[in-house]
Amino acid sequence: MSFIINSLNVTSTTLELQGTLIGSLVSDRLRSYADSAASALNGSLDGPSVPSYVDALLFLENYKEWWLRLVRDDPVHVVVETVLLFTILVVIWRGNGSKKAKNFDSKLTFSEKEQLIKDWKSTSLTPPLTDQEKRIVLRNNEQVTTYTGTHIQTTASSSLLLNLSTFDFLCMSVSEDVKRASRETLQTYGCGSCGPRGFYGTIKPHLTLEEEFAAVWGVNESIMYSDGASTSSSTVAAFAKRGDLLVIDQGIYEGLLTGVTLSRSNVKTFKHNDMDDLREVLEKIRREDKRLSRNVLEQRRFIVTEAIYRNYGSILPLDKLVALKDEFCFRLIVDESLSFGVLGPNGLGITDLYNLPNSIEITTVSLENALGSVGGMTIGDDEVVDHQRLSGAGYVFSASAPPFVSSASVASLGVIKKDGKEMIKKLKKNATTVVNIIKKIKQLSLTSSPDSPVIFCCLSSSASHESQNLTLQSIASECKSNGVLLVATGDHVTDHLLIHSPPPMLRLTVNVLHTESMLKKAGVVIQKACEKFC
Amino acid sequence: MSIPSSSTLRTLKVAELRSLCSSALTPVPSNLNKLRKADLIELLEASDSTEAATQSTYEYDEDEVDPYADVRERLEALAKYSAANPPPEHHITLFAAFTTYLGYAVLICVGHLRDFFGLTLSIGSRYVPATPRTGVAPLLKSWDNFYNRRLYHRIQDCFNRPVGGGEGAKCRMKVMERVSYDGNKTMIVANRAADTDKPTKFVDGQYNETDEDGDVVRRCLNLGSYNYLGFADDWNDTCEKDVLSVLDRAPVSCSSPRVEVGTHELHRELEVLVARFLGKDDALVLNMGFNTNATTIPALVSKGDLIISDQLNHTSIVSGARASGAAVRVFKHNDHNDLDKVLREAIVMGMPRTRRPWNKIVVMVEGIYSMEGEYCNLKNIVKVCKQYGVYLYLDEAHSIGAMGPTGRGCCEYCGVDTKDVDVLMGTFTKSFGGMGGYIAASQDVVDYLRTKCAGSIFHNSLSPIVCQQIITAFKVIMGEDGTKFGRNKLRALRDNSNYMRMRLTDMGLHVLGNYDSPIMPVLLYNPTKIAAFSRECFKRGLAVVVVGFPAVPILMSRARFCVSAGHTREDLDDALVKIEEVADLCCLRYAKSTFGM
Repeated sequence: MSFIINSLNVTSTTLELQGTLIGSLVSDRLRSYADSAASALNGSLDGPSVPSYVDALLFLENYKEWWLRLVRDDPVHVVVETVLLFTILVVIWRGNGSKKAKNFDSKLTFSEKEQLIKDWKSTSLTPPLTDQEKRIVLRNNEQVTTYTGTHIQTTASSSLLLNLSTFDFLCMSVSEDVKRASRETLQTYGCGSCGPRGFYGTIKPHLTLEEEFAAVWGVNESIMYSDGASTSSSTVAAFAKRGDLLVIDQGIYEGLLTGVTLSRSNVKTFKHNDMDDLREVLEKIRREDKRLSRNVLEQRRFIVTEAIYRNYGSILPLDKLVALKDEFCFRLIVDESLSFGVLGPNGLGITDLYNLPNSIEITTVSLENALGSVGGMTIGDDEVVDHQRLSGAGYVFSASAPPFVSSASVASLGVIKKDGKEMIKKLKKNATTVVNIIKKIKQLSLTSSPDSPVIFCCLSSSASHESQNLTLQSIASECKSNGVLLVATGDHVTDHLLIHSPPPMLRLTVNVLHTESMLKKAGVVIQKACEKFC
Repeated sequence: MSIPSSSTLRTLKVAELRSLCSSALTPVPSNLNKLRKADLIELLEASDSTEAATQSTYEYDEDEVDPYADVRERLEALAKYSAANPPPEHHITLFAAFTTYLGYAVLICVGHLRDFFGLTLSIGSRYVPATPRTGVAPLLKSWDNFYNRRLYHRIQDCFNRPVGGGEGAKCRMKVMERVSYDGNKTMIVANRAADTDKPTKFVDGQYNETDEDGDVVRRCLNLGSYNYLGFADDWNDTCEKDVLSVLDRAPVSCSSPRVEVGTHELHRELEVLVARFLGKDDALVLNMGFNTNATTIPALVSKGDLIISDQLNHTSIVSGARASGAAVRVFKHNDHNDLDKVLREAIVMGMPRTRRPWNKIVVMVEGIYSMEGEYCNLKNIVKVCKQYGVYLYLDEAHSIGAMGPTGRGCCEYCGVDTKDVDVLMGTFTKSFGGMGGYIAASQDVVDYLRTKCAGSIFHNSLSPIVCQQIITAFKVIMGEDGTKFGRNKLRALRDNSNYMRMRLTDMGLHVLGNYDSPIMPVLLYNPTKIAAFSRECFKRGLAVVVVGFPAVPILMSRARFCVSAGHTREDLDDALVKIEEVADLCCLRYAKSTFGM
């Protein structure tokens, strides 16, 4: 209301101003015309006629009088409104001025700029290493010389160490079938593919692998990436974009998390593997939808999880998750990198375990773990795969994997199809053996799922993060000097991309070639090391 | 004629510099009298460095036959001219611009019309999108979906062509024929046995063969792979023995990240070799070239830092920069004056809003820009970076092994000491015929990256078998295998590239890039010519790469030739005859006339 009154006032004031200005101009001219007209009338009829605009000028004369009267009758009114007008003009003028002030570059002189440039000193490219980082570098200097699946020899060890650290669950990377397939493909196709898939980097073995994987999932197509981690990051970022919604588990590993960051979507997190918390988060979203009356059909929504969590060893409760995603209309992106070839009666992953085929919209699988090869796959319906062939950054802009790794994966897949059942049983038995050993060691407590071949345990005592880490590092190196190679994760699995880092833990992975006696011996070594340092 | 050092040059007068230019440079720049002092010095310095870089290493011994003897003089003169001058600028002709826009307009209108009728009448449309589950948003947003269905699918037979017949990425390869029974929506490999009941859609001809599985293949000359040094062609002679012996003793994959137990002794051997090759303290080798950029950049820079990136940098750099959280500014492609301007402003203005000074600034450039065929103006960029004390990150994905008299990449070619580039990155996919990428830098930086970069701490390490492939390739390039294979490969690559570029330019095509670069993009402009060019070349037994929007700007669709050391002059001559035919057919001679005819 006040705005309207103000603007009316302004209009009237402008008119008044016009009155004064024009009035003063006009009155002089009018006077001269009036004089000439009078002299003409007085002189002769042939004199100059009165111009037609005299009427207008007379009107302006009236206007001037009206204005002067106004000043006389109500001077306060005029003064207030004139001040108001000037204030507005000043505000407008200052507004322009402040824009100029923002760009204060223009106020700096050349020599001032030079001084600023001279004064600026870059920090060093990388900060100095902390003790923790120095340990990693030191460990990295140690190189593997022999790898047999069950055992590893390194440049720092004099004898073979029991391998409880690689993700090679089925020991495919040393299997004869896989090596034979690799050799044959190397001999026919050479090593590198020398180009991205789009530009003559698609070689026949790639197609064979994609067909095989699609057949396992019972879909038409699947798509191969040349690196396991970039599979998940490219896949997530290909579908989720700005404005979409991702509900992610707090425990997902770096590859998925990078995809989530690159997608620039809205992100909500739920507690690690906690389906009740997920339900709460989803209900909150639903309430918000109602409150803001959002159109659900315009936002792509995904729940992002892992089947076996790489940083925790916990197994996803897929049945509950599928019920939730159906109820709340979400799509699922599940990373099966550690579960394919490991879970389920046939070793076909989490859907095999829960017997819920095709319940996951988008599955990513790394070929680098149970399949003992290189690369990754994404499996989904035609739309999912076809879209990635144009939008999966790791697929489009990266050279394809060497053809021999595809043949190696196909060979592994063949072995899983043939002997999968026995292998899975053996793997599960080995996992149970190690879990039972860990349960008996009172200094350690198991944190991973009992069925997972990736076994995580942390210290039972509640010391500080750093002291726990140091103890576990000492335990790991003590075990190594006694012939057991396991991983203490505290040094390198730290905060990444602002998601909570897991507590320092020991990680033991079992594979099919381990025998019970090997694992029992390892148990003794671990127990002794724990007793020594706790 | 030797050119004085740059400090002496600065003391000379303009007139003296001009006379020096006219006597020392071949060819003499036409605008010599208009050039200012700084330009003249720059010109002289540039000619000096290239003279040093392209010395006699490329010459043929007495007992060798130079296949390009007849055009040798012209080739060398052109290469020299190109090194001293910026690459030619091609302006799209008005006619081409108009028809290109018109082409897209027609494609988009027809696409929408078909969509409209397809959806309302639900007849006649092969491309009706899949209906999603109730309550769920469609998986693809309308533009993605539309672009895929109406523009990309129409010409998808020109991309993703599979290679079969046991040939890999060799210079003479066998490309698998594909057919589509649903209007190019899906493509399937043509198989003589399986397709008997359906009409065969491929044109059977002189180039066609059947491989052992009954799939139809077409014998093609490969002008598309990044097989620069031809290791795919002579793999069985150069690399097979070493690589297969490693397969016997090492696992196919380490199944573990580098910092856990994924460091095989071959990784270390390769890292030491890379560091020695490039004259750096140490190197870090990772599993994938794309990921090398995408994971090291976030480890190097973070919030409070600034990345100044070339306009045309590769997606992997863009991905890494995005994931890092650092601020990103862009400078004009290869323009060191613009870089200077952007740097000045960045340092003077500091961070936006808070105005605090930047912690560190990293300039990111590439050695050879893969879509432009241009190499980096490294000497000047290094100069600018040094002047302001900022760091330089050089991505040598395409240039390592392919440029410079000994294959040491853009630094060697431009006469820049590798010490002046803080971080050198490169990939092994191209010249080395392997996979993976490296970072070579000072000891501090490499050690830091080992502990922080996701590629080193989370991702699976490079396969030891691929490591051996790269090590062997390095030994060949460095001549440590005791043969002259490496030298001959580098020489053949340079000669083949320059010859091909010269002939393509003579043809009147709009060819982008510099001499001495093995990538030569030819502008096609019209969207329809993308498919026409690719299909016509394929028909004639040439496998070429064509690139359209969104990989390049919408007006700048192009074909891209990548030349290899494995090509012979006969291959190229034969290909050039066919390209000329296709260029006439598609009206591509834009350098000769507005209409391309």
